[in-house]
Amino acid sequence: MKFKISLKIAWYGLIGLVGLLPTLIILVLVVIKLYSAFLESALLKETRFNEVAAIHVENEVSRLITILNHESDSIAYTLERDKNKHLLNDLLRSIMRRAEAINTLLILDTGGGIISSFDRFGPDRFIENYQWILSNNLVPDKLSATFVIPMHGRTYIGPTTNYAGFQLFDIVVPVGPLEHPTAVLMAKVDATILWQTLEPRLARPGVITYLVDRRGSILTPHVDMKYDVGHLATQLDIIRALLANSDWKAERTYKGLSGNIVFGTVSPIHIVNWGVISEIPQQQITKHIYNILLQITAITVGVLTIFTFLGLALVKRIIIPIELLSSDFKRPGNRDYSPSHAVSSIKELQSLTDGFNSMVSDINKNEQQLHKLSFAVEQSPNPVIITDIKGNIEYVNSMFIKLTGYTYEEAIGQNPKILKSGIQKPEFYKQLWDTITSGKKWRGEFYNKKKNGEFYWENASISPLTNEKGDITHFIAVKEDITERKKSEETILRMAYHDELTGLPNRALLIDRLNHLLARGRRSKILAAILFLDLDNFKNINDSLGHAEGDNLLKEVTERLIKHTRSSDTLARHGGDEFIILIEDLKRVENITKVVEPIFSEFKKPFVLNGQVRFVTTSIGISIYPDDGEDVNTLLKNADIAMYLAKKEGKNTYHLYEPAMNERTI
Amino acid sequence: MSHPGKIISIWKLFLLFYLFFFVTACDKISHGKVEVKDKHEVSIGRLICGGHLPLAVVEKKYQDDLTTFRLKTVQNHDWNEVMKDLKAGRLAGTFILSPLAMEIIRDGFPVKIVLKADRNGNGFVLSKKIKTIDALKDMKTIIAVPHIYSQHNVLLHMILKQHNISLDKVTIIGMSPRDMINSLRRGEIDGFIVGEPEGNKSIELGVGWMASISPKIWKDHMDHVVIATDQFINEQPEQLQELINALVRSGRYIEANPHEAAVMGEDYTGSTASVFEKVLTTPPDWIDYSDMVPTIDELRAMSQKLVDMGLWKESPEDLASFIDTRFVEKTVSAAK
Repeated sequence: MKFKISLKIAWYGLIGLVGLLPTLIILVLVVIKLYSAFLESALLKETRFNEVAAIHVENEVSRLITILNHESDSIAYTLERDKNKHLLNDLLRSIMRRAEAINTLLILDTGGGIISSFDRFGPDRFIENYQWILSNNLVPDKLSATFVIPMHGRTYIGPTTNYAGFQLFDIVVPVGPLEHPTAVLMAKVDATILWQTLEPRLARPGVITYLVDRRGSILTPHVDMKYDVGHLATQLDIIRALLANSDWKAERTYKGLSGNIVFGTVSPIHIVNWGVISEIPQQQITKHIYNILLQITAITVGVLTIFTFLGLALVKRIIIPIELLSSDFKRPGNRDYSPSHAVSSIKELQSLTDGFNSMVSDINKNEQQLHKLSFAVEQSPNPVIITDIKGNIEYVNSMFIKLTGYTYEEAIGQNPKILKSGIQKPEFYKQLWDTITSGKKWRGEFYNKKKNGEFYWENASISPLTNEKGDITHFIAVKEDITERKKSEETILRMAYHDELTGLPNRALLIDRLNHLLARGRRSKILAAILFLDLDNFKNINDSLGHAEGDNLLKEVTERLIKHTRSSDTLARHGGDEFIILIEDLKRVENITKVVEPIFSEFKKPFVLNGQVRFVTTSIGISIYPDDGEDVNTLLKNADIAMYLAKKEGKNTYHLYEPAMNERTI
Repeated sequence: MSHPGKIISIWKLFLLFYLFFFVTACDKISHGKVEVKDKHEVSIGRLICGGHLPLAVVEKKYQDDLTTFRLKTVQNHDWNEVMKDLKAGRLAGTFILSPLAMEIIRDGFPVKIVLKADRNGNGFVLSKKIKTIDALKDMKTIIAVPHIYSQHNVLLHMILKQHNISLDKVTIIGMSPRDMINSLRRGEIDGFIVGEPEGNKSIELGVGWMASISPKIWKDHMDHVVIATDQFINEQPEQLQELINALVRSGRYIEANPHEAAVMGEDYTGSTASVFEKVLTTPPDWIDYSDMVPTIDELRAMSQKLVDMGLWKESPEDLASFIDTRFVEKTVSAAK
């Protein structure tokens, strides 16, 4: 891993990322949600209020209709009886007193003519003013809905119209029987006054509530409103929504009629086809919400801070021991195996410290043990090689270096075959590899070659090293230089089977070879001769010239006999001055003379002993295999007998064994 | 710590990215637009009415494309108020009922029909208490139309005639389209015939049912028309040409994009987009904003209806002088 950070940073980062950051994000989301919820709640309250305002307007209009309908009966009765003008006027006054919003009252006959009329000039001042009514074209056309509908016995509520700055709408009710009305009672209602009668019950500080008709004209004034009554305010989206009957989202803000940014709520007033709109300054609603959110945020941040500090304190209790332990973990690398002093009240951390101390103690012991073993191997008198599974040398000890002449660096990475002498056959090495790769130990001897080309013998033990899965990972070869031992063995062997003075095979080796010969003779037909030589008068030489000269004579004799001995034959010193020549693969017995004669010729030559010329002769007895015996003793005995016979016959001669000789001897 | 302004700044932070992209996007949109705020305004009258939807498209979509003037629409409550504004010289022209346009021209008011605003587009709605059109034969009823001189009145007369309903049984009154639904709901009237979307809205509100639609009564009848004052025609022909170009273009846009147009015109049609989209598409020919060149034949046919209804004694000889098709023909030929 390339990127490394400290545990402290990781912990604090973790607290930040997993603790603080999500909490802050959640806090922000919660605050946003709460804001929406509070806003929705506040606006719902405003919407409810608006709906209540709409209901109040509807109720007021309904009340006016009820008043008109109620009085229409009295009017009808009066018209039917005597059309008493004073009575009619009293009735109209009574209506106007009960309905402050009614601006003008008209009673029209079936032809549309005015029967009676009243106009309001003050709260309790009503004037019968035909001229004003006519001049303002307030009398409806006979064919208009205002007249036709009530004349059909139905109540009619007309659209709001601007009359000289007054926002008037008609409520017209039939007078008389509904099937055949005798007149109509028409009230021009001032929307502004109607609203003002309700406003004290509906007004709230800071909120502008106003009425608009279905053209988008403002019907009611407000002190904070920038526009006059009658203004067509269709530039406002909320009014456009009202005109389109589309849903208005109360959480939308817009620049209201006061010029401030406001939330608006709108409710239709179906009975008059108006809408009531309340504009609440944005700040008025959000200020309260912000205060609540601020408190929530402050509490949350406070709690978060406390828990963060508690968390940091806990983290500190974790981090400090871990940091100590982390530092302690570096010490064993510097062979410092002293125990850790990190102490923690946290169970797992204390367990970690204990584990560390136990581990360090074990490492210390193991290292000491390893050091001893390593030292032992290094100082071993035997060469040691460790290779990998492919045979590449990974380690050699100093004895290897000393023995082979290769330096450590030269040896590492090489294959042990660099030591091969080339004398041992490939099968030898194959058997070796088959053994060790099968997981077995191999023992054997190598005849190897040193770096300087010198050959040497070594005894080796090669063991495969396996891992915990049992797979071979290395081979360890422990060797021993046995060159000297090999030489000693050869010497001993030589001494056991050779005569020390002449170097010739001794009697033991002779007998061994005779046994081999006899063994071969038992398998196939062969002819062999045993020549038993005994120097004539050797005792005299010893006595006269001393044993040293006697020994010299024997050496000289040996050299001369060797000249006439084939490599396939055996020349042995039988003891004292007795020599035996074993001639194998004799074609014919007669051929023996060809062997004997050169020997005698050699003995005719003088020997120089102690500065004196001496002539020495020999007597030879000969036994023939298989004619003269089929075992070693018999053949030697018979050759000896024949030799004695040759001596007896005057020496310096030879004699073949004859069975009669044996009898004579016996 | 205790100042709410600090919390406001949190919202600002969160909204910063959105605001940034939003402002960037707005900037991108505003590039290349022609600034027309200081241009001369041309006032055109209208009501809240589906037939006047092309004006909404011009105002909301093509306003910045206008090079010679800035369009201002003047919304009124009923046709009497429109007439009042027109006669007072506050309007250079207006969208208007085609019979009313012909009536004021016949009366000598100096205006010309320069464009058809739409065709068809009207519905005959009856109270739920009246189950069939034929039921009108047996009861005294009041049916509202926007104006006595309206194509709606013509259509009403046609349908009454088609069903052999005596005019004695039906009282026809003029009423602002915006008041009709409420009036029907209150029981003041028994039905109405008017341009959409009032019909569909009344159905949606559950106060009436659609007894018939105008394509079934008089297929492809002339509905609203656009009139221009002679003064506007003569003194500002360039602006009139551009206005007509834009209105024809808007008509094509509405036909091709009914949903977008319905959304755009919610406060012009006085209807939610879903209701007016239904008007535009189901059936597709219920209201048609294509083929906007007025013809003498159409005027003659309407004129004859007015005579049949007794509103006019005779059809005027000089119907050709009622219209000025130079501008719309130029628009149409340019489009070809």
